[in-house]
Amino acid sequence: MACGPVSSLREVRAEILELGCDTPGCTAQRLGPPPAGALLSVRDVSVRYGTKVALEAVDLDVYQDRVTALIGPSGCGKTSLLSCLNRMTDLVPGCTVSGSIRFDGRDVATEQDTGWLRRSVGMVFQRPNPFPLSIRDNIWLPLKEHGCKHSELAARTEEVLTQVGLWNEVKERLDQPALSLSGGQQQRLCIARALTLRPRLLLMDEPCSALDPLSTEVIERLILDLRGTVSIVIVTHNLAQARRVADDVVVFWNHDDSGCVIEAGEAEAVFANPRQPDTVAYLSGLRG
Amino acid sequence: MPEPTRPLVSGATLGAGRHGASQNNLADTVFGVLVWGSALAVTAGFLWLVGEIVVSGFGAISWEFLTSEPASSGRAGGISTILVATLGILGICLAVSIPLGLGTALFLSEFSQGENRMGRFVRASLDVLAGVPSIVFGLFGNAFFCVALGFGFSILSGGLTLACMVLPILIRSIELGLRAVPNDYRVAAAALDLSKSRMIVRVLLPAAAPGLIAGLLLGIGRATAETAALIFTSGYVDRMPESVFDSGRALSIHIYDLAMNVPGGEANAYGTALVLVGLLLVINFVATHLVERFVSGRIQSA
Repeated sequence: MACGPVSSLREVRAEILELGCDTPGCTAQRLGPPPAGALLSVRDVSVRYGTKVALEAVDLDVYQDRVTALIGPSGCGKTSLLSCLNRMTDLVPGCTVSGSIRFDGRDVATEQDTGWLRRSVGMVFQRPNPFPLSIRDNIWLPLKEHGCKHSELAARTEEVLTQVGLWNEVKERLDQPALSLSGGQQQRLCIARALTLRPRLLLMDEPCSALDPLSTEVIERLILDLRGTVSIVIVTHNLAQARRVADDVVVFWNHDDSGCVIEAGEAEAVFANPRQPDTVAYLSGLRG
Repeated sequence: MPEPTRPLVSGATLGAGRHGASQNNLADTVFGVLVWGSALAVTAGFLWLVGEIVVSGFGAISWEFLTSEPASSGRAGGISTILVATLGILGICLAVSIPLGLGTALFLSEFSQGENRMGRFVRASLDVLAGVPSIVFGLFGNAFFCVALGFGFSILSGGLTLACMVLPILIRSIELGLRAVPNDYRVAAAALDLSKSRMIVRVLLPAAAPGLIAGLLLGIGRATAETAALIFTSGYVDRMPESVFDSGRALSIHIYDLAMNVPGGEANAYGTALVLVGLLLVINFVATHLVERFVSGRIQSA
């Protein structure tokens, strides 16, 4: 049974609960050629781990200086997509990515210079993972590796730590181990570490899922502060969080055990007026 | 003050009042006696051994003993030449086995992705090597280092032979230490476009330090205690070695020789044994202490 476009929550609830509506599957909008304003354009991207298809035929655009949230239930390929964007998928044995990803006018999939890519596209992970070094060395390590002059190290350290609101908390104890910081502080240190390379795009993979509500609030405020400095793609399970921080959202869904995009657009529009029945059900907490 | 927990008592209390309580009690008692008995037996054996060495060897120990050359086949005099030869052999063994072991362990844990053919082959070779008896290493060392390479009976031959012997344990424990480092660090380093060499030197090796030191200690212990492999390679000349090409007698061989071949050498044999045990304890203590300080400075909260 096909489900037509639905306009109200009541209608979809009726269909799901009473009529037993089939999922429409991946009726994602197929996007045309990359629009001029897009910093990153993903077209027809599929990700496989061995023979398992984790993600099928994804299209999405990320715009300059905006926060794009990838939302959807667990296991629908959000993190897999994120890892394609800076080729972290190269590190996973048996992982193959097909389709086209254009970032800043260059093709990510065939880019020879993965160093350039990873410096331009920073990444923050689910679990805070500062190196087991001092706070200072966590920031200095990438700076030194990428040729920052010794005279500039201190200034750059202050700059990125201030950006993430950590400077006043740690300026007296830069030589202490990073792992002595609280979870929220560690995550902000990791964001600062990613910012040392002045990336144009920052990927965040559920950056708050290992943190308490207060630290989460601090990180969310930080994301809003960074908007305008760096474009952000954030994966989150937390719908309220997506609503609070995102300019654009992309809704992922699971179809036949592989993930796909079912809806995308400006956050307000998608939250207020979802077009796909699965999005309606997911956003209202009925499914997912 | 309450006594420390005693399984026998708590077992009895648990069993009381239940159906078939007396049977349970009996089984628990027997079980408890067996468990406590084996633990006591092992501890008693250890204490007896160390006690015997300390009691019989303590009288022989003096500054004089440590700093003078052996006389009258070791019955009299000290062990200065033996100490020098031992440290020389150990030094050569470590100088060769640490870089080789570290390199191989890094290959196994960081460079052979998944289970590739080369990785499997290296692992299989190490397993075979680890199972080879030390006397066979001694014969190999004699044939290869002493004869084929022409080093003769020398500290160099002994050190190199010990290095071959220690490598399998060293590599295995270093590899385990490296693998125990969370993958988060490797991923974070890759995302920052850090070179693999910098990631390994600045992040991985420091994080794995406790495991590496543990492996090193195992290796040192094995090397210092080795006798059979050295008889054929470093020999048992007890004069002061002048270079690594001279033969030198290790502590363990000195003990063996005094105990088996030199009538009246028991006192100095015990003294030497005490020095050997003490040396191992000191190395263990220093290394553990260093690791703890290092770990508390880097990894845990200060």
